[in-house]
Amino acid sequence: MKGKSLKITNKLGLHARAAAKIVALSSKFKSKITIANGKKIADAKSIMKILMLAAPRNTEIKIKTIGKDEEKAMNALEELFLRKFDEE
Amino acid sequence: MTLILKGTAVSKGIAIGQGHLFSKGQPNVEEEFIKKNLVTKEKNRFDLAIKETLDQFEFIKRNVNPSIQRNATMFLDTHIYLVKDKGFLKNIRKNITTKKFSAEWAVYSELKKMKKSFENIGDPYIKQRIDDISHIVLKILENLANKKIKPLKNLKIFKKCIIVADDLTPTDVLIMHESNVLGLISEFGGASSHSSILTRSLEIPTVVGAKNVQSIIKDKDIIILDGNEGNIILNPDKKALTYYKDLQKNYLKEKKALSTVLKKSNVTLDKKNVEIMINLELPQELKIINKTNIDGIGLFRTEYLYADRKDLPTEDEQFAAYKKIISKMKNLPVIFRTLDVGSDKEVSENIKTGSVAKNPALGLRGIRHSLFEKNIFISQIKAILRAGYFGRIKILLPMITNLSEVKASLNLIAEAKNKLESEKKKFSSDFEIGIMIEVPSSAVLAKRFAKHVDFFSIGTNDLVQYTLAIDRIDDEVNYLYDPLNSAVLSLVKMTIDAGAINNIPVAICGEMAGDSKYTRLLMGMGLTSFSMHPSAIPEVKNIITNTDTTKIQKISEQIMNSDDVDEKNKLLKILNS
Repeated sequence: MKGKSLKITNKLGLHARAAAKIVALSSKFKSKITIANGKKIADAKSIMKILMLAAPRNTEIKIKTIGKDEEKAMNALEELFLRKFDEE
Repeated sequence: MTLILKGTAVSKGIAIGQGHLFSKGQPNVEEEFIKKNLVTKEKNRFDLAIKETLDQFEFIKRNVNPSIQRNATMFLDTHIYLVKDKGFLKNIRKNITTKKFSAEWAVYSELKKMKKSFENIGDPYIKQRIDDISHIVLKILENLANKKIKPLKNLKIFKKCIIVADDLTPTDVLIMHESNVLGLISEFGGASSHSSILTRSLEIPTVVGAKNVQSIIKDKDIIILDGNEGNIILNPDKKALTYYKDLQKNYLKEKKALSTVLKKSNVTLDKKNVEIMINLELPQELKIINKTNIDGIGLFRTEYLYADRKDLPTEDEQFAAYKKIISKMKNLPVIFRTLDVGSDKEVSENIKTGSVAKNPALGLRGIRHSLFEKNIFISQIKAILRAGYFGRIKILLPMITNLSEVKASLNLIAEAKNKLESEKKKFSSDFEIGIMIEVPSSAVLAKRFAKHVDFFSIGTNDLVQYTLAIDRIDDEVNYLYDPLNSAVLSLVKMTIDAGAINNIPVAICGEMAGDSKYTRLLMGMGLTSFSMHPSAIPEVKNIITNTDTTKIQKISEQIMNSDDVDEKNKLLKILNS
């Protein structure tokens, strides 16, 4: 299992398109991937769950990956967050 | 303050009552449960609706204008992921299985649940994303409805009011009808949309294409809806109310008087039989049409099966649809017009119809398309012949302009029969084949065509348009559209005579057939078979049953021979008096 805390830095936070990108990327991996905002935990392959995290800009979220490709998945997701979902 | 708004009148009648805003943006589904043994079926129905919804989004994605592609793709991808969301789908399927929810109710309940969760979200931007979810839910519901139109129960909220909608789907119209609405107004839509066709059959006063009505009219505003003229009078004063109440009373009285004429048999005063048939565009209409003394379906337009979809209907799907119609008509004939795409008839985007042509009316339409896309044609013919096993069918070929088209079509029909034989499918080999007379060339050559086909059906809309070279929907020239034009009448007469000489029946199925102004004239020219929209029947039949055919020939001839428009109209008035 891999775990990492990340800050959301894009302007609009985890809105629909950002969530769609997370889902698209996560779905490429076999690992189980979760994103947590405080007590709320979402499956990173479910866009509705990610939206319901209601994570605006500057939220500190935690990503967990469990599975054979957990390391690759974590790296890819971290990169997506750092790129601010290619929005800015 | 009284305000008059304008729209397109698509279904006659006058409604006076309170407005009720109805927006497709707000799905409205009632609690509904299914029987235990239908769970699997319901889940399949749901899965199919999901697949269709995804297909539609993918299709739009592939076909968006390149200039907006990047934005549109992102937007559509979001929707696609929402529809595909595993948790969302799982919850819905679970509710169908364990709680026996109908698919619609399961989808809607899930939306309600999500709405609740979203209410607690602080961030306004993310909170608004519930709109995206509402949107996809709406799409899923629409796709569910297309498969099975099921009027909702207990929709009393619409009762005795005038619906003011953004747009109305055929399903909406049926639901509104079930709940006894007074009238319908919509911002969008045109006279030939499926919804408009249905409101006419249902005789709900309707005005469509009334711009901005939803922002101008409020719930409970008093409205007069004039479906004859296309006027919407908002907050009418006393004078207007009295005027329209009188108009309404007279209209209803007249309608009632006319409806008694349906009980009479289709015979003239001098005891000549006249055929009265209906034009059918949608199978749903058949349920609501008064079929008293109807001699059959004179024109069954099959385009609806090909419309609003990206794939083509399979032979089996068409067979099932046609069989349903035929079985409802008992042993009365059903005349199937084969696929008439092109020009003003919009169908599947996968069917190519003269994409090169700037003027689609002169392009690859009707039989030309069928001879070009032979497989589509053969599959339709096979379906019609198979359905024919369960009743009486006739085949009507549209847009015939020369004899080789007739021969080529007959060969393909023979080929379809051979295929059915080798596939060992049951089908009817006892059927007639006729052609539409809607292009001047076919009217001129009707005498020769008559030796090769079993009947003629005159399509006056196109015949007028092609003879006079005017496009009816072009506002600058449509004043030239004149069914009384001597050239048009000559062509109609030539067709009737060619039929009489060769002993084959001639019917008329264009708009002229349903316009009671022309009924006597056409009878005077020798016509004995009319096919029209069901709502036109009472008026036309009233004329037919009150006409003595021995007394109208001379004046009809005078009208045909006159070159003066005013004189023609004067003579027509005398004929009709």
